Amino acid sequence: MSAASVRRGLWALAALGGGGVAATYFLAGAQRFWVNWLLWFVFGTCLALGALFLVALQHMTGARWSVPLRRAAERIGALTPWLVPVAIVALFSLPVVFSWTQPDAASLTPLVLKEHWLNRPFFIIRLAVCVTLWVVSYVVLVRGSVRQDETKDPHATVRLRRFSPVFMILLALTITDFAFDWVSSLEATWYSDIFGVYLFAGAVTTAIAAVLLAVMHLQRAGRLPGVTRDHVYNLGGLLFGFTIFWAYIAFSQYLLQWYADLPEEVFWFQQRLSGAMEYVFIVLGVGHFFVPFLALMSRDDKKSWTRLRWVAVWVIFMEFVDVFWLISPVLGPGIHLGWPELSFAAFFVPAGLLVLGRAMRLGDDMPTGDPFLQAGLDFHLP
Amino acid sequence: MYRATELPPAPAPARRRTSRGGAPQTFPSSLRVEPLVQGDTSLGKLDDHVRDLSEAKPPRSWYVALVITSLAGLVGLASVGFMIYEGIGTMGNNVPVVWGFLIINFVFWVGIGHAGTLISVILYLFRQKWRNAISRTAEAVTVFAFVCAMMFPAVHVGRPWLPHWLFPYPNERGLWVNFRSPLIWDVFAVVTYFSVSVMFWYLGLIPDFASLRSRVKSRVKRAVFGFMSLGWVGNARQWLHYEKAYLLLAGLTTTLALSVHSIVSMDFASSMVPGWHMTIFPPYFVVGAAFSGFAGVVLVFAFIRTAMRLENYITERHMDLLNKTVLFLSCVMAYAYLMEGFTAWFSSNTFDRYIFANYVFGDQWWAGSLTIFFNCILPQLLWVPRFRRSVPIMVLVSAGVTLGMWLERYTIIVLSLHRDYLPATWGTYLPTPIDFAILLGSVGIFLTLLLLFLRKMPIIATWEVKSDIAHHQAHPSGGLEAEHA
Amino acid sequence: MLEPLFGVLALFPTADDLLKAIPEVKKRGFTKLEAYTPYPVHGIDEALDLPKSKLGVLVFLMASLGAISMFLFEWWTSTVSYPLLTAGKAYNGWPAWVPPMLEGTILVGTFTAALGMLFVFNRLPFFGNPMLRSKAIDRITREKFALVIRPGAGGLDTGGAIAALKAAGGEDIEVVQAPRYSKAGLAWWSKAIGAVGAACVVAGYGTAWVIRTFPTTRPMVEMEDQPRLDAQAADTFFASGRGMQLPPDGTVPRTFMPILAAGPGDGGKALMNPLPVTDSVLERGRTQFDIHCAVCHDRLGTGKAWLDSTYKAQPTDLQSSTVRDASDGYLYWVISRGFASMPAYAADISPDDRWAIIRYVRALQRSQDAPMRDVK
Repeated sequence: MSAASVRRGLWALAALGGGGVAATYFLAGAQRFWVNWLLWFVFGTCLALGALFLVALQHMTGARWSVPLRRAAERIGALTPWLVPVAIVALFSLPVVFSWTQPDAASLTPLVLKEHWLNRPFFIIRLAVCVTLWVVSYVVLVRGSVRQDETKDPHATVRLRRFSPVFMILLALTITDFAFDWVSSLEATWYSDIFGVYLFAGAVTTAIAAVLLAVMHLQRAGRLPGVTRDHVYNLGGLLFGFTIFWAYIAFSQYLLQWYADLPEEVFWFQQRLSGAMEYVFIVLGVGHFFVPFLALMSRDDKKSWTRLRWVAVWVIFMEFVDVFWLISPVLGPGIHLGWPELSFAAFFVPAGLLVLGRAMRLGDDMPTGDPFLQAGLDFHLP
Repeated sequence: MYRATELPPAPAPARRRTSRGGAPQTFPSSLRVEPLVQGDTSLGKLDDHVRDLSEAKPPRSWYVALVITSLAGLVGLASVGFMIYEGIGTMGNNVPVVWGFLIINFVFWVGIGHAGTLISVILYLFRQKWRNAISRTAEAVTVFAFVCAMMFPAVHVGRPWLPHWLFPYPNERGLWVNFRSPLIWDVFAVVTYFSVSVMFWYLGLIPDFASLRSRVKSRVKRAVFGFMSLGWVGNARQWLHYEKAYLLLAGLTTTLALSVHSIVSMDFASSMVPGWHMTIFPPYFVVGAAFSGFAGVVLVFAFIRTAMRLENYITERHMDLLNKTVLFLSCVMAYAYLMEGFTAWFSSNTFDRYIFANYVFGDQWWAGSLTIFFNCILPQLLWVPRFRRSVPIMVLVSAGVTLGMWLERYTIIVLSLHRDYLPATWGTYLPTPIDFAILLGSVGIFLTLLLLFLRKMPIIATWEVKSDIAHHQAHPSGGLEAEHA
Repeated sequence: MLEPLFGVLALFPTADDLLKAIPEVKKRGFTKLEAYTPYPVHGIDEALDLPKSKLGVLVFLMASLGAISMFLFEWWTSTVSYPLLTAGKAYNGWPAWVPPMLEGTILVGTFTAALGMLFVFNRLPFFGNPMLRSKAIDRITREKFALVIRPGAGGLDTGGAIAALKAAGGEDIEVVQAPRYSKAGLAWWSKAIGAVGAACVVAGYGTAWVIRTFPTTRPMVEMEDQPRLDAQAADTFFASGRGMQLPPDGTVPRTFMPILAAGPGDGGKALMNPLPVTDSVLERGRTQFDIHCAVCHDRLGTGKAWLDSTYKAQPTDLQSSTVRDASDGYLYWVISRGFASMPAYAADISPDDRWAIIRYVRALQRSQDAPMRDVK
């Protein structure tokens, strides 16, 4: 199957999915539509920000082994500008699904006490600031690196290294704000101060899995000469580490709220643990942690590309299940999984793949202007 | 971990024209990497240096310091004895503030103790070679800090002569410990951490004992080192299993380090006390522990680096990297404080809101404010590259961080407890001289053990640094070595 | 007699030299090689065809075992052996068991890794290692890299080995002898069994000693030693010289009813049971009966409790027709005053409880002799 026919197929699928998406609004109700829209907005944001984090992490630590793989992460970060339209559309969900915009919010003391934060103008300003910062960071980090392919200027590396700590600070603040605004404030009385880190952990895990897939895909296509199993092995190690990190954060949050048993906190978990959602929770615990943990534990596991590919796909799927588990219970008890969800997937997955496919042509396949590229290519496992 | 053969240097991009400025540009100096070993050294010279440090007669200042610290330790132990004999009324604990200095000190020392593990183990997993020269001393800091830390809960349980009650052993009363209590999790965490740290430390020492066993002059040391080396001969097969064990231990101990301070944080966070019940506590405590631990290690090396002529092995770059880590952790701490404050407000729980305002504006406003100053503001000095290599600045910052982290625990424990849900039970907390004497004593015990270690034991993991030296000798140019490869 | 040969050793100044020498020596037909280095040199395991370490498998198995057994232990103690309700959590509130389980797993895993590496895989401590008696060992642990050609099944051509090492660039060639005692020692597994056995004995006796000694050792007398007056203690403060003062004359307890409290003097014939027959009365009666009466009269009132065979006096069979026909008042009188070798229970059982017990005894009697209409 040629690349062009794959693209045509994706377009067709996206068109079909787009029809389903539109139908959702009219047939399944605005709430269902907006919840699904938020699902994909949050998921896409996680993926894009996670990729930008990986890029900045490499600059900040001065790591070399990952230099040849950086372009793959940068290309996934190219999803960032596409978040702008998705975010603007998502703003229309405000009056529909957010508990603090509902008419009865004015009578709930906890919500009245935080109306300085949860009000529409400020909410929109915060989104605008966050998205602007992400796009600017994307331009500086990714475009700056792509430009270096031409100029071969080592000073560009210095500039990127100087910018990356700044980006880290911005990312910490914006992703937290994003998590509190777009996920946690759906149930505005609930709160958990780890929530930003929780979303961040999932985001980075997904991004690593996506970079793994992209690198293995490009390497197989012969576009990453010099990238060896050792580089991919290291990525597998990172995926393993962040899987544990996610589980650690997720379990801490659950344990502490379970233990203290405060009514203003546990209701959130009760919604997500009642009825059929409990199975999603179990799937999440097993699938988001135990499966990749056991699958990547030994050294040989991280050297098998077949295994890595399956694990990476699985981890990305699990991150989506995670976002689903966080957001979907807003619709009420039970699992809300049906043709609307399938339509959204049929629209966003091919659309995302098309965007990413285009992004895979961004700049050279490796950051050829980076003075450390050769050192990175020379990396071998000890 | 290290390859015998080395990477070819990257193409030298010096004096290259760029399309932008058009002016000739030199290769940016900030991208150059200094070597991890400096000066005239070799595998044998390192061995001799480490041996001499453990054998030579220490300078007079060492004896003076040892007398002072051991006196302080004795004062502390005597205070503990007095407190047990006379009763806990001799300390400042009272009814709203049931956890006073003892628990503050416990959390503080456990935190310091994380330094060794994090430096030695996590950096090992990330293949950061610069850990090699400092790992041994950092691990020693861990072990000694845990000796101090374990003293406090043992004393604080009220009847320290019944320590076995903390463990689940079959007994005639048919009782078991309550596994649902975070305090029991603490027992498991701290005991595991201490025993694993000691074992890990010893494991690293085996090849060094082997290399020193016949070269030390003291006959006692010969016998002890010889026995402790277990007949190690450096067979490639031995190294194979040894490195595998080291890697496995590194993985497991990383999880341990994360879990131990998380569990310590759950002593607080699983309760409902305002200011304690925060879901961010586990990672926030771990970062805080690493923060104070790194600061402690910077303090130790700032003092001994020149005093013990370790400049060749612990270079300015090591200090630079340590200080960068301190700066990074300081920023993460700032994030955690910000989230705590924000969520306290966002929760719209009036008690949470009050307690956090009280940290900074209340009757003991200085505790919260100084915590923020020392932990989040003062370390920002380290953004300046020159300051990261300046001994006075790094001592200032690290001492500030150590103090700040102690104050943070004071803030969390005392300030949260003395204003709880019922204003009728509000009280205040005044530490007594006994409290201060016990704190002083723990510092004394820690420093005494550290001083003895520095002059009696191999303070550098020679087998790890030797590979750095061999690498340096093969590629003396410095420059673009692959430090992370 | 010649000492048996351990091997021929040569030193190399750097790890690279050693790595280059290995294939050259191999080319000359010497395949049983060992390398000794001051730090772990990478690439040497491939050069010598050393098999990969199996330590990881052992650690994984042991750590899994640790996790499972710790979890089961916590479950068993908290829900089966000593269920304790805390913080309103379910008995098997598993989230709380994860932290100790994690610690247990890590403890087992780390100790397996360290001790397994030392004792199982590297067979240390081994002070009889012939290499320890070689001249080169101190230089190896310090800065040199050694290659040793070991004798194969057919012995070793020492001259050829020396030549091969020399050709490969080796210096300070040395023939290392194996001391004979290292052969005469016990097999390693018998040592291992001995060591484990000794450890078990020491651990067993140690634990027994700790368990026996500590719970009964009391260095502090805790709160028993405090200023207070015990009930019978003498004291000089009051004129009476007693610590505890007698109540003023005529004092009675709040619920005191003179006749009912001590039991009536007339055999109780005139007394009626004041309590109704309700579930709560019978339940109360059952509790009190099981506490005070069942030890002699048995839970069913048959009088054949475990005292039956060891105690001379035969407790009355409450199912007998004598008791069955006796009035409630009479039973009340017996409980209050005692009967034959049965002591008086007036001081131990409150009047209401006595009546409740009687109601319960009636129910017991009915239960053992139920008319057919009850069953239907």
